[in-house]
Amino acid sequence: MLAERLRSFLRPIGSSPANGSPYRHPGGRALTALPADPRRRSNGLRQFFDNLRGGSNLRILDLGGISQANVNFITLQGHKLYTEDVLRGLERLVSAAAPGSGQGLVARFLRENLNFPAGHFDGILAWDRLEFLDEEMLGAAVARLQATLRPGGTILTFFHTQAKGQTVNVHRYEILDQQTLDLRPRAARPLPRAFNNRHLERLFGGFHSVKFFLANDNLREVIVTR
Amino acid sequence: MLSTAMAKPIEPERSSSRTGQAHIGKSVLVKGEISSSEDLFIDGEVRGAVELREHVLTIGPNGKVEANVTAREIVVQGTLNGNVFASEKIEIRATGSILGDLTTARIIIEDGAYFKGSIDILKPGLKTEASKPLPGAAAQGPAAVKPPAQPTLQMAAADSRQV
Repeated sequence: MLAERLRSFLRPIGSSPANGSPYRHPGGRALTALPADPRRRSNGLRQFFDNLRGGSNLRILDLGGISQANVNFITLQGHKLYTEDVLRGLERLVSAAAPGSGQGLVARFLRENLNFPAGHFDGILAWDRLEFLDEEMLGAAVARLQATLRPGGTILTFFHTQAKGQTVNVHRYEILDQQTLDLRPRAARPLPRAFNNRHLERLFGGFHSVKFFLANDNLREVIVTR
Repeated sequence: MLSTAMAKPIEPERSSSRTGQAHIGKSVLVKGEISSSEDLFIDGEVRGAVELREHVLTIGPNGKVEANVTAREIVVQGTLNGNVFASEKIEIRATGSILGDLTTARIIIEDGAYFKGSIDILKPGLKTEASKPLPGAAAQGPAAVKPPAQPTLQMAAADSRQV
């Protein structure tokens, strides 16, 4: 059932302590390797801001939840920031769903999340949040994002390149400058599925263009333009 | 209409009078508009509208506010559903949760805080707009709360008391 499938996707294996130090398994073992320097150059981010260049008072949606760094960076450029933690919204929905339920879960998710007027946003920072959605929910969420994006607007999203089931870090991505991110680990989760370029082209087939940046840290950055 | 749901008699906190801060205790439910000319600490439940203009609103860890709020500074440790206008600062603590549209000059977010909505940062020079009602754009946000047609509860510094 959809609810059980989502529960298994969303179950974190470890969680990040508040002080931001590397998180560990309850037994004391670090779940995944953390880079010595959490800062990361992002060509996708650079492209995202290049696409927005020249615009002022733009509307940007951050799907990674609220972060002081991102609020400062976006609003200092004179833009209006909207934030929504789509994974937390999904977790709330799934934890409230009765066991064995699944009917109407996607519709309810869309009623409670990503509920914005058509063509409202100039840019959407989806980070790695989309890949943890169930396939049915992912398709519906991408269609909703497409509708809320203005023509010519851009989505930045990340997909891990590891195999299905492999444990990966879910991060909070904090913007340091137009091409640098600070990665703050939040939890480790098993990847629900693997995406290759063809899958992603199909997923974003309704958009005007899809551009990939493959980095050497197993993260595929995707720029999607409506 | 002001209604209170008291689990036990409320003891006046004289210290809050001395510091010029009114206090809504955690067993108190207020429905209606609150207008205050002193700082206000809400640890109970408020539904309606809260207008403090030049003062500080603190929503305590037990506080649940379903209201559009106007104040100089707002500190959220509990839950706030509604649109917020703070002429100087909004602070969302780690335990705090806001669902609504924010307009302010400065925002401070602790790690772990929850927020869903939009953030508009006031440009310098627009701060004096604080005393105006909630901007129309913000009032139409996802969590805009329509205040009930009820009498207002006014709190004045000269008559500081425990509610």
